[in-house]
Amino acid sequence: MELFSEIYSCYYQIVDQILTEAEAAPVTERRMNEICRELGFAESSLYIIPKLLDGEWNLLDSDGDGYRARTKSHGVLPFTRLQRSWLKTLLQDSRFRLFFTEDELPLLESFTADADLLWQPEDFHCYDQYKDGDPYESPSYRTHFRTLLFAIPKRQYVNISYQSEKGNRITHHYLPLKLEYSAKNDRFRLLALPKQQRHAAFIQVLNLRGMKEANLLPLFDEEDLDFEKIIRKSYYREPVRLLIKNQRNALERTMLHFSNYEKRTKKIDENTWECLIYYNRSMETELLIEILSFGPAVKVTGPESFVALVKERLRKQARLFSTTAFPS
Amino acid sequence: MSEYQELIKNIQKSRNYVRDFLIYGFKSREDFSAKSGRTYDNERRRIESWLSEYIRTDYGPQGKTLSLALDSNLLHTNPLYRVWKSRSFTSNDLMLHFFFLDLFRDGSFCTAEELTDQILKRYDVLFESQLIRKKANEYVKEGILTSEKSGRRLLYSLAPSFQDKALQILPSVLNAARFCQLAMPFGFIGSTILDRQKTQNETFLVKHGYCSFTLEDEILFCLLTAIRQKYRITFQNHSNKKLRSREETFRVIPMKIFVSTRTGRRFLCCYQLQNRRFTTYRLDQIQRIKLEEPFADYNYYLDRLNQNLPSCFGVSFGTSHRMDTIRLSLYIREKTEHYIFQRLQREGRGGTITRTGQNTYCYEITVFDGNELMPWIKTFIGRILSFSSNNKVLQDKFYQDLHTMMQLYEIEES
Repeated sequence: MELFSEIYSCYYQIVDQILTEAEAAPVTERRMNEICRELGFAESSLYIIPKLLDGEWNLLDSDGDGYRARTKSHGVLPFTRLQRSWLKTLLQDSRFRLFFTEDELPLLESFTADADLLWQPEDFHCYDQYKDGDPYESPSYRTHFRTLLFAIPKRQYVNISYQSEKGNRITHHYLPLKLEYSAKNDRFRLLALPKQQRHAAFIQVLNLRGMKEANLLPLFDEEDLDFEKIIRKSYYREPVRLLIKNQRNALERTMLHFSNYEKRTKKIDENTWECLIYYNRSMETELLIEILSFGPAVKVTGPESFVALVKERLRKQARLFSTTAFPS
Repeated sequence: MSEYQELIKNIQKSRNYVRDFLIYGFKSREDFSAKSGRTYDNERRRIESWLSEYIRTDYGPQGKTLSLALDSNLLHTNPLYRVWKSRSFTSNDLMLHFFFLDLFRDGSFCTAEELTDQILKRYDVLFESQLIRKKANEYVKEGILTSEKSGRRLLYSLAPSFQDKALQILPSVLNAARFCQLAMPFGFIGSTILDRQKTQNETFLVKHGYCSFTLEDEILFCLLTAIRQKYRITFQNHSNKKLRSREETFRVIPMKIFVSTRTGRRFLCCYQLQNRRFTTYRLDQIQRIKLEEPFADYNYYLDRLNQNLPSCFGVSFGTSHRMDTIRLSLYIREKTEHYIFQRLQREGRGGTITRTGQNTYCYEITVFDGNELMPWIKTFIGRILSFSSNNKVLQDKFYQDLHTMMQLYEIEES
């Protein structure tokens, strides 16, 4: 079983698509270039097209203005042992099992029976994952999850009754957009638009485990919706600006830690780097405490509003220390 | 000198360049001094081609720098999976792949010789039957073909896929793959399932996702194989620590993979026979692994590791025999700040929490290496009443750090 194999390469995918089309009708060079652009890397067409056309890859014959495949009707690649092993291994995971009904699981178990397990759950130790992850085995949780999974691609509205962490109960009609998972929190959240504020395009975040009910409504959204544009709009124009002193390996630690954000880094001098991190309001508090965790190795220099947040925490701290012993 | 190619045979070299462009993104050509400038140019061109829409180029005093602009919160797949889809191949590999898929589609069974004849007859391409047998055997190993003996003939056919009743579960498998390709180990494999069905993920996103982890998957694959088979291994480690030599070789018993969900880092936790202790190495720093031989006492050391885990706050087993005890006293407004108390419970990894007075809580834990708590403790800045430890160095460092931070932001300390 090979992980890095040409079977999965994008060149194979491109040729697969070209052959599929060329088995039905002659395909032009222009169309082949389009397929390369859709499925390949930036320079893929420079390598693929000449080999297909000059016969080094003997798969096509010239036919009028286009090319016809020598294959008649090649089939889809069967699931490889690697893919079946991956599925078999994931069957041990309650998050994976969310996607299947009790009737479906034995079918998948049988399909993957002869595959090897790639790992056992105990081979991994997630030492900093929150202890109160979602209840993936709970029947009501599973039902809500599957309702949302059904509704999202259909853009179907859902009536959700929700209890927030503060204990407030709300019931609204929502257009579910995405299910967001956090490994750190071990939690799913729904990103949704409340029906009443459909055009305000302000996305609400609901924890799945807070849902008391989630029922499909006979109502579908048919208007244009650009999810990324809505999310991008919520980002602050000015990124957080950090100065990083490379003490206690802080440069590498910060670069790794903040690699999940879009960031931009440049060297200021031999021991100092400036890092810009792009963020939105929903990330603000988390980003703030993440930055604080680096102590004096990282200094926030902008925007003013973010510097004020850091200073506020430090002032509070100074006040607390003034009432207790603060060893200098 | 070999000609530049978009595809590669080995992921090892490119892995380090992609990682540097993603994690750092401020290094210029001169900073990549470990290899020749020509190697850098080829790698850079390749990465620009693989990940063209994420490439950002900047010009500064140190020259042109290349970075990858990824916001993992907005990604429906991990763009770095493209690195895994860049394996080179020969013309024969490619042709035989599609000829096999075409010839076996009707459920037929053929010997290598019959395949050779069929390929010549149908596609007008002549291969040696030896080559076809080799490829067919390779595909049997990958689970794409099956082989069975019929008398003295070895017959090949296409491996069964989802059929009949099992076909019903394909939509659920695809939904699961849409999620798991983002969130589970070896997500790249999930992305190949989506590729196979010519579909994508538009339903799931991940928060706190770290794209670079996939670059270590070949190393992880090897380590998990060794763990499963209880093997001793040898590996080369390329450390970034200044005090250590850059590349070292270690002979260890691999035990577990430690994962940080907050930083995306993954570590090999292993037992070192030489100095008789557990230790951890970052996967991104492990370069090459060799499986040696089965290790007879594997289960004994695994039990010992499991006994040690509760005293391990992160990945460190400490450097001395003394345990570090940490006491953190926090001010939490009970009426309005229950979420802070919840944070202590969720993130405290087994530490005890005691209410010591109105709005005052004490968190206490004893671990191998108290230093590992320091970043987490600093996330409570603004609420800390006191910090104490039997490790005087830690205690001093904590207060010194806070003092320096106050100075850095010109906060008056009274």
